[in-house]
Amino acid sequence: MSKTYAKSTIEARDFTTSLVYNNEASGALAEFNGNLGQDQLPYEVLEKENFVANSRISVDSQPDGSASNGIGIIMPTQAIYKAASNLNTFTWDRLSPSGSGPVAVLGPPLAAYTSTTSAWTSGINSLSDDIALGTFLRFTTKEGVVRGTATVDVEYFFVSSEATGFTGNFGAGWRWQIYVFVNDEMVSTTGPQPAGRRRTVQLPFTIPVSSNDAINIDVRWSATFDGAGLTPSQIIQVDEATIRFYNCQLFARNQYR
Amino acid sequence: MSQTKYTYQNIRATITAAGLNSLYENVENMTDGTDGRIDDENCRTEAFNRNHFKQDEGPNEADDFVSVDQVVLGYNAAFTGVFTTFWTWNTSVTVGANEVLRVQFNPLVTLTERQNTASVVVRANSAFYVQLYATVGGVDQAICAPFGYNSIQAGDGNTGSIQSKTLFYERLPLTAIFMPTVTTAITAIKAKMYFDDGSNFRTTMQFLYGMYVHHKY
Repeated sequence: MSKTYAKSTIEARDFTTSLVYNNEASGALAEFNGNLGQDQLPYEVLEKENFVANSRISVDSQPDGSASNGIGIIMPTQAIYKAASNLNTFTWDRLSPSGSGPVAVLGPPLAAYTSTTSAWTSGINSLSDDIALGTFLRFTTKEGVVRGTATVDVEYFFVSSEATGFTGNFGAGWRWQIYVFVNDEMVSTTGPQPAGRRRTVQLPFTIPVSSNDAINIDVRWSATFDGAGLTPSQIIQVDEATIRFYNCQLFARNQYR
Repeated sequence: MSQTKYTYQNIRATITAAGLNSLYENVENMTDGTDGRIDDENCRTEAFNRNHFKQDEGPNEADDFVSVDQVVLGYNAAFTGVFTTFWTWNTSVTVGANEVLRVQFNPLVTLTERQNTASVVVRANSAFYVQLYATVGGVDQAICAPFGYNSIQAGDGNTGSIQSKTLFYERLPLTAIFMPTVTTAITAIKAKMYFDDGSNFRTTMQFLYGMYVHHKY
């Protein structure tokens, strides 16, 4: 009789193999310990050069490289980068010069765009054009994931602060929107938000990344001001649409594979 | 990484219950904290890790904390122009040099209110600000910039006579990234609010939730 190999339950008087007894336990062990293949193994973490104390570096905080005021903390399994503005003086007379101030509030804004000036270009614009810190980061990545959050303090009103007696209906026209772009691809947005208020928004984002010399994370904005839907229609004191940006913060965490 | 194995049965040795169970006891030990406990010392840190759930009942309040008490600030000149603490989370965390503490705070504003808004000056002062602080050596130091919100959200942003023009049941999420250059022992994390005009504006909050993640490795 020829030899018989079987993985199924051995019947009476049949031949057996030593493998059978270990099958289930082997499976449990393999699952617990992890069947690690190249897909699961850390990609760059287990290198001698990574077993060092955390370090702190400076990273670009402006797209043209003119400022490197972003902070990066490099750790063995991850790196965290941050750029944040720190507007903290409450000395801005926002009614000046035509108002009845002085009224000292937080400010002046880090950036303000008014529909009646050429500063407001159409389309989606980078906040880093006018805000030095907290809207842009460029850093080296390792293969894995980058996740982070952009925080923007934004205010969009459509009449001057001296106007009185209005009730606003912003219809479909008066909207602002904030975006996060990574290498010029949008990864997060607030969606169109109605004007007529000030608020601080957070835009979380998560992207897979390969090992790169540099990726650019850029916070951008757009707004519309066509005025459609305003009531009452006799509002005549609409003198401008001004969108103002106050403190901005951007952080990103690169978790290595 | 936790590992377990079982030893081969010796030749001619009698199989015992203890021997058969050893594999599973090892697995248990490796996961329940007896031997190779998985905790924040040997796993990567992220928003929610095992450390957040290691308490038998409820979340681990060492790393996150929710307060559902209603907090009302405003309608009092004492709130004007100063940062007033409205949420205190006593904790104990030491952040080493070149480590990162990320604090996430997410209060629920149930209502903002205003009164006497006829004056231009009053209307221009309708903002309030939230800023996060860490108590180090008994001194509160800011760990993020002040971020602003308007008590009024309608029309010109400055007038209004109906209640719906205020904030109503809205979360105000805020993040702080603390990156100290020296080892820093933090005894409390606080949120403070600043009113341009505390006399004529009021903010009511509930469900003040905060958490931190300590990135070390």
